[in-house]
Amino acid sequence: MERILECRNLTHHYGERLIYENLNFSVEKGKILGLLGKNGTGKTTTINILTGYLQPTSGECLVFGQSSHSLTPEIKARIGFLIEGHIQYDFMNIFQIEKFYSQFYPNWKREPYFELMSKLKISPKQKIQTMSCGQRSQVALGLILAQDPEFMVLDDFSMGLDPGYRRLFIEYLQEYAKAENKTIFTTSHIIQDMERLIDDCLIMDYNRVLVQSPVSELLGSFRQFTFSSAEPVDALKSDERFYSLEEHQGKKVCYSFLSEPEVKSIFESRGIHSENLEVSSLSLEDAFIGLTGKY
Amino acid sequence: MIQALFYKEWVKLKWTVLFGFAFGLCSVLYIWSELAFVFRESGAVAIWDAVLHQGFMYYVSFRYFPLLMGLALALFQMIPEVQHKRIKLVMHLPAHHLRVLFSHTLIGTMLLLGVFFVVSALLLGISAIYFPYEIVVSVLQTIIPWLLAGWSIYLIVSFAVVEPKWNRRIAYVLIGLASVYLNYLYTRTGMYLHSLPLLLAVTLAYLPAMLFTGSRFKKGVQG
Amino acid sequence: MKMKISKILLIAVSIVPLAWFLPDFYDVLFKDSVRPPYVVYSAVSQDFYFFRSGKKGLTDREGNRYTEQQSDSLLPLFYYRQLYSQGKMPDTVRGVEIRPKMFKVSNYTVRLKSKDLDGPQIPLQPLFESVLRRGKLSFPHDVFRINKRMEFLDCASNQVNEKKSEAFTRALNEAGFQYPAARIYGNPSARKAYDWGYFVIDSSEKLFHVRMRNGLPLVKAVKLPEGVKKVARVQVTEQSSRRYYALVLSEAGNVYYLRSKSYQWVQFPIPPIDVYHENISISGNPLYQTIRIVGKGRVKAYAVTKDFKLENEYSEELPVWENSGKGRVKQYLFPFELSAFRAGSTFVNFHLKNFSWQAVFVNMLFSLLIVFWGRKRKQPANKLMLSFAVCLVAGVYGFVGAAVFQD
Repeated sequence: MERILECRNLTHHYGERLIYENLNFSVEKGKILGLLGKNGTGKTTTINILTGYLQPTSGECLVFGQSSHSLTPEIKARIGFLIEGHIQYDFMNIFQIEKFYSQFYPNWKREPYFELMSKLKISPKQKIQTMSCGQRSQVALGLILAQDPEFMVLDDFSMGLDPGYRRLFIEYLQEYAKAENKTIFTTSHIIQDMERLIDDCLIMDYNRVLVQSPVSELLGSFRQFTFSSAEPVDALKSDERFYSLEEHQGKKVCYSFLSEPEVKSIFESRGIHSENLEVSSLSLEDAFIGLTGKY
Repeated sequence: MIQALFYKEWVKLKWTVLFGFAFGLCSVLYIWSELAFVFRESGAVAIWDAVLHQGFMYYVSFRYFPLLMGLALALFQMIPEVQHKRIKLVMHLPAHHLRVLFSHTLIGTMLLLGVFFVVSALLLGISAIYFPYEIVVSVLQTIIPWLLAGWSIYLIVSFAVVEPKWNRRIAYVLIGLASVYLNYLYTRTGMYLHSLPLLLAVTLAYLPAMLFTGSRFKKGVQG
Repeated sequence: MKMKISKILLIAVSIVPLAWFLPDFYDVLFKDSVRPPYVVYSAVSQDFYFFRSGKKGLTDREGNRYTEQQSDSLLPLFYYRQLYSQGKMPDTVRGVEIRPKMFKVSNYTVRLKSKDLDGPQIPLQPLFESVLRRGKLSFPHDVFRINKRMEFLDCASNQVNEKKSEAFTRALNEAGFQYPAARIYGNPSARKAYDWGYFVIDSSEKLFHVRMRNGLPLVKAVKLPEGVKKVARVQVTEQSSRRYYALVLSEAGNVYYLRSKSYQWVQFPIPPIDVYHENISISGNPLYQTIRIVGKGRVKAYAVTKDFKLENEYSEELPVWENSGKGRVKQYLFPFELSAFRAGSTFVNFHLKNFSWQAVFVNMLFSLLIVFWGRKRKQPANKLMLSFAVCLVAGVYGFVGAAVFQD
């Protein structure tokens, strides 16, 4: 498969503070990849690096085979970029902004843009700054659709949107991406949104990558184990195969990629007598919390 | 590319430019009415004598107009570009990001100098009604440092606004103000005649300054 | 690359205001201005006396102080007003009978500052009618220029007065004037007792006297003194004695009076002055003319009799602030400074001056400092080289510039 985005040995520091070291990941053509991570794990840093607004301390990030920091205009034209908060030129109205951008892109497709705009309840001369957050997101999305890029980078697309617009945004995007074989790299605060949209996920923790796999694979193998046990289970805390061990209403909860028989045999070998061991599969949000913990 | 950017800048700046132009026009009309008044009251001979030998500058209220205009244009042009890191949009346009930034400077300069040109021409025009060309030339020699100061402050504030760090921004503005202040050190008619090339050179040196702060933004310097 | 150019330009352009403001700020804080003494000449003792700032009263060459009474008797021609009002004025000074009227005729002061040699001036002048009406000068209704011809412009209409222009042009032509006028000297003010018109230097550096009498031109080509090729400055004097038309400085620094009517030159018997760096003032009284020259770290004074004989002279070196402790420190701190004026001109003419090799040490210090700082911030060697070089050449200015415009 063709790799649209490839980051190799990415390391970044802010002054003395290490964000991450030797980060490697890639996005293949036609895939939608979601970057998940708690605040401060380097989501924004990564987005900035791959869109060329930050030079990593070391390593490289290639988009269409070019270093993201010095993309040629031709490559930039093939990348659609949604800035956090759906920022656009809000001193313009929807016609002015379309007129502005259309001059930069030879393959500009005005139909999908105006189709999307026709659904908004706005007056034709209304400036973007007087629109609601949801309406603005549609303008920003419409512009990206008109640009018709092969690769889209969407920085926190759900920010400030109410559920209706979030749903609208995701549905529109998903349909479009699948129909046109587009590649998407995205982040969002709201993991439920991501679950609907993304094929692959990249989950970051402080200074490292926890998981990089298709969402289906993650949800198929990562499970929650609930059990009661009289013995202390502190020994499991140092076991890297178990995540986020905690006690909740007298029950012990942990997460693991292991299967139920494997978990049972580990418990036995460690002398833990687990009663009523329950195994449940997870939503992406639960899996994310299971992997990274609540704090 | 430049036409598209000009379109965007015009949508953004048309009111600033028109308002600045109207302000300049009003100040010239004010100067004109004052001049007409003193000609009626004191007579032409006294006014000519005052202008020729006592350093009377009937156009002195024009002194800070270019400065204010340059400042306003820079703020109204560049603040919307950096708010919410909107400058990422400009840099993502399919062209070299420094060329795009420099185009913004050039477009702003064009609008600014356009306003300066028209307003100054009006000032010189009304001067020519009352005075011979020697005096008109002396007016031109006197206002050029002010116009250059306006252009400089436009360039300085623009590149300072694009700078990501606040402490740097302040340092740039302080140095910039010191440099613009040189244009206002001495106030007599035509004193700067022999320094105009230097003042112009200083102004031109600020022309590519936004490439410096823009590159800092692009490298990811944090605010 | 483009960024590098913009950075270098920013550093360079920041040095300009810094080289102005930092030394200026130092001067404001630490500089004590050296005031030259005011020199007076005593006709009684035939020697010079001084009023010095910070010291009360009159002192002599040795620094002895004089009481008010002693001063009065030493300088009767200086204190004549008080002496007359107190009835103590002597009838004769050095055997010459002194009458009150003599002061009115003989007293005058001319001050010529070197910086006024050149400056912004709008080349339009009013030509006064030299025949007084009711004993008063009245401001004319027009001004003149001398470019391709002599032209009079009417102020009210802003139009050329053809008739008058033609008449004056013809008179200038007849006197052999070469257009355009290079410099025009006169006193364009109605606040004077009478008018002696203008002295005009033509394009071939010849001198002409231009006046208007009863509305008609009166032009005279004036032969320059022997050996004078170029006139640096003419000061039309219009003194009450009416003895001289003008005081003239030649480019070589000789000082002349041009006698009225006869157009004869009299030269002051003093060594040439530096017209670009020395200010000269001449004050006359019934017996003497005292010439004071200040500049180039010196005060000089000459006493010249009415018939232009040098009677006494004085010269004193002024303390140079640059040699004082604070002045020396300044030379170590700043490698150069920006100056607005050149000698002999009131045009703003920015240039660098006071280059100081002593500042090399401080420059080195700043160079090392910025390299040290850059190393700490892991800057690449080529950027450090630039900062180092900038500080080495431009010292503290370069340091501030390079520090502010660091990337």
